[in-house]
Amino acid sequence: MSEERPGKIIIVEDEPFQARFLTLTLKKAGFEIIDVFDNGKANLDYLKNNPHDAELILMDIMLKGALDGIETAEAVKTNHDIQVIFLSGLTDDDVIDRANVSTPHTFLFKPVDPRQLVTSVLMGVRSHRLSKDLRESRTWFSRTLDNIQSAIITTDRVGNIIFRNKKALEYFPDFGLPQNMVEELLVSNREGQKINYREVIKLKGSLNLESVILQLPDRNIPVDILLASITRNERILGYVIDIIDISEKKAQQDAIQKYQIQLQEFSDNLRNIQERERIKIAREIHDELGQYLARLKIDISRLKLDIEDNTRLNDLESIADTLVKRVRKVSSDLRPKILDDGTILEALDWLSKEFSQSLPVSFFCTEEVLHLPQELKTDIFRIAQESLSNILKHARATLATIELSLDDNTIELVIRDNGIGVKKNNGQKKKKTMGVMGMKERARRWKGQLNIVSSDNGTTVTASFPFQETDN
Amino acid sequence: MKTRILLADDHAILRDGIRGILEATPGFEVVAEASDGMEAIAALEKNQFDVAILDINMPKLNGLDTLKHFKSVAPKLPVLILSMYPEEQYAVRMLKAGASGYLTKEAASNQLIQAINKVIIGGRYVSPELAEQLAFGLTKTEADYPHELLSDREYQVLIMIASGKSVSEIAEELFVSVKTISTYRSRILEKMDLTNNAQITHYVIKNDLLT
Ligand SMILES: Nc1ncnc2c1ncn2[C@@H]1O[C@H](COP(=O)(O)OP(=O)(O)OP(=O)(O)O)[C@@H](O)[C@H]1O
Ligand SMILES: [Mg+2]
Repeated sequence: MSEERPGKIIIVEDEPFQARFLTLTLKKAGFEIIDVFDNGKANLDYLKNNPHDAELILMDIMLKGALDGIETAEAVKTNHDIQVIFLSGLTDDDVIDRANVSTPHTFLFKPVDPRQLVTSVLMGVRSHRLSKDLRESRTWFSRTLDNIQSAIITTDRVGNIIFRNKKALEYFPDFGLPQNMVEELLVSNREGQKINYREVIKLKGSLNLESVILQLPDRNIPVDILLASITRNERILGYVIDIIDISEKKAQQDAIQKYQIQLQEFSDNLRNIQERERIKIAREIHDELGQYLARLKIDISRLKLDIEDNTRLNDLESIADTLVKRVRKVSSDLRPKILDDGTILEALDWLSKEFSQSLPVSFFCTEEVLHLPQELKTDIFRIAQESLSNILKHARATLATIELSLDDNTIELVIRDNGIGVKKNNGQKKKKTMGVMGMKERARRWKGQLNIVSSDNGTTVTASFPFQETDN
Repeated sequence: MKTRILLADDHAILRDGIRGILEATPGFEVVAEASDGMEAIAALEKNQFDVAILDINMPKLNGLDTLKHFKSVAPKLPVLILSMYPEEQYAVRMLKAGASGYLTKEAASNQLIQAINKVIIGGRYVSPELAEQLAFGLTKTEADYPHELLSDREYQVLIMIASGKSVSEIAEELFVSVKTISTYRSRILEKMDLTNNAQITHYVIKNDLLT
C-alpha cells in the first residue's frame, strides 16, 4: 500500500482477543483502524454521525446485542456506501445464504489467517474505491448532461434508448421512449429521398442536420441535430443524438436581418435625399447665380461700347466669363441637367464626352432607345460616373469604354479600362473608401449585382439590373 | 419697320439686360415680355412678332414645350433659344424641335444681334463651335446618304467592318464585348438597308469613305 491512501477500517467484534488480533494485524499492514465496536448498534450510531469516514467494515456475524452481524450489514448497506467483510466461526450454509441476500460479501472464517485477512481487506478497499469512483463519475456525467442546453439521447446499436438527459426528458415527457423519433432520425425520408442516416454515420462517424423542425407533442421548434456513433474497435456500440434548440439563434438572425433591411432602407433614403438636395443646389446655383453672372457680362460688354479705354473692362468680362463656366461646372458636377431631361443613353453619352477631356472614353449601347425610371437612371449613371472617376484616379489607363445592353430583362452596364488593375495594398492600413461600396449599394437596391474583375491589363466593372420594359 | 420681338425669360434681371442690348440697337423693338411659358403663349395670341426669344428653364411651361406650341400655332415665326445651358447638351434637341437658333446667355452680349438678324431671314443660328461640330456630321438629323444616318460609333464600326476586320477583332480593338459589336453590325446593316459585310465594303469603297 505504498502509494495508496491507507484504507479506513471499522472492526465490529465482540470478542476482545479476536478484536485485538485483527487490529494489530491490520495496523501492521498499514491500514487505519477508525474504531472497534462490540455490537451492531454502536457501529450504526457511529456511522450516522460520521457517514463518510469508513471504507470497509470487518463484521463478525455472531454479535451480542439486538442486531447480529448480518442485520447490521444490511442496515449499513441501505444507508451507506461501505464495503463489508464478514467474519464467521460458522460454516453453516444457511448463514452464508442469509448474508448473501443483499450483496455478495467476502467471508473470512475463523481462525483467520493473517495473510488472507490483509489480502481480503486490501481487495475490499480497492473494490470499494473503484465502485465509488464509477458511481461518482456516473453522477457527475449525468449531472453535467442534465445541465447543458441540448437534449442528449444515447441508444444502443439498434436504437433502443439507453440514456436521456433532463432536456431530452422535457422534450419527450409523455412517450417514455421516443422510439419512433430515433428510428425516424436514423432512417429518414428527407425531401422525398430516403437517406439511411445509419449508413452515413457508419461512413463518416457523425452527421449534422441543420435547421430541422422538431415536432414535439405540444409545439414545433427549430433545432440542429448531431448524430454520432459510439464505436470501439470499429464496432458500433450505439449512437448519441444531440438536439440543440436554435430558436433563440434563429430569432437573433431574424432580428439581424430585419435590422439590415432597415439599414438598407435608411441608406437608400439617404441616397435619395442626397440626390434631391444635389438637384436643388445645382439648379439654385445654375439658375440663380448663373443668371446674375450672365447679366453682369451683358452689362460689361455694353459698357465697353461706351468707354474708350476698355482694357480693364475686358479683364472684368473675362472674369465674368470664367465665373459662368465655373458655375456651370459646379452645378453639372453636382447633378448634370441631362440626367433629368435626357434618356440614360444621352446621359451616358454626355458623361463619356465629359471624361474624354482627360481620357478617351467611348460609349456603346445595344439599344437605340431606353426609357428607365428616373431613380434607376440616376443609379446607373452614378455607377458609371464613379467607375470613370476611379479610372482617372487609380488606373493609369489610356482607354476606357462604357457599354450598356438590355438582354433577357437584364440591363447590363460594363465599364472597362486598360489600366494597371486594382492593386492590393500590402499590409498598409486600409483606408475607408466609399466609391465601390456606394456602387454596390446602388446595384443592390434594384436587386442587381456589381462585380469588379481586375488584372494587370485593366479593370472591368459590371453592374446588372433586372428590368422589365414597360409599354410607355 | 422695326423687328418685333417677344422676350420670354423668368429672370427679370436677365430680361432687363437683354432688353438693354436690343433697345440699344436701332431697328429692334421688344413688343412683349413674358416670365413663363404660359405668358409667352398669351402674348403670342395678342401680338404679331418677327422673332421670339425663349429661355429653356421657365416655370409653368418650359421652353421646349412652349417652343412646340409656338411651332404648331405659328410655324413661320422664328424662335431663338436663349439658355444658361451649354449648347452641346441642348442645341440639337431644340433645333430638332423647330428652333431656328440657340444661344447661351453669356454669349448674348456679343452674338444676340447677329443671331436675330440671321433667323429673321429664315436662317439658322448656332455658335461657330457647334456649327463646326454639326458640319462634321456628329449630329445628323436628315441624311442624303445612308451612312449619314449612323451615329459616330456606328460609323466607326462600319469603317472597321469595311476594312475586313471580324466582329471579334473589332470588339478587341474597341475594347468592348463581341455581343455589343454584333449588335452594332446588325444595326448598321438595318439602317443602311444592307444584308452582309461584302455589301458594306462595297458601299464604303464606292463612296470613298476609307481615307
Ligand atoms: N479602375 C481601377 N483601376 C485600378 N484600381 C482601382 C480601380 N477602381 C478602383 N480601384 C481601387 O479600388 C479602391 C477602392 O475604390 P473606391 O472607389 O471604393 O475608393 P477611392 O476611389 O479610393 O475613394 P472614394 O471613391 O471613396 O473617394 C481604390 O482605392 C483603388 O485602389
Ligand atoms: Mg472612388
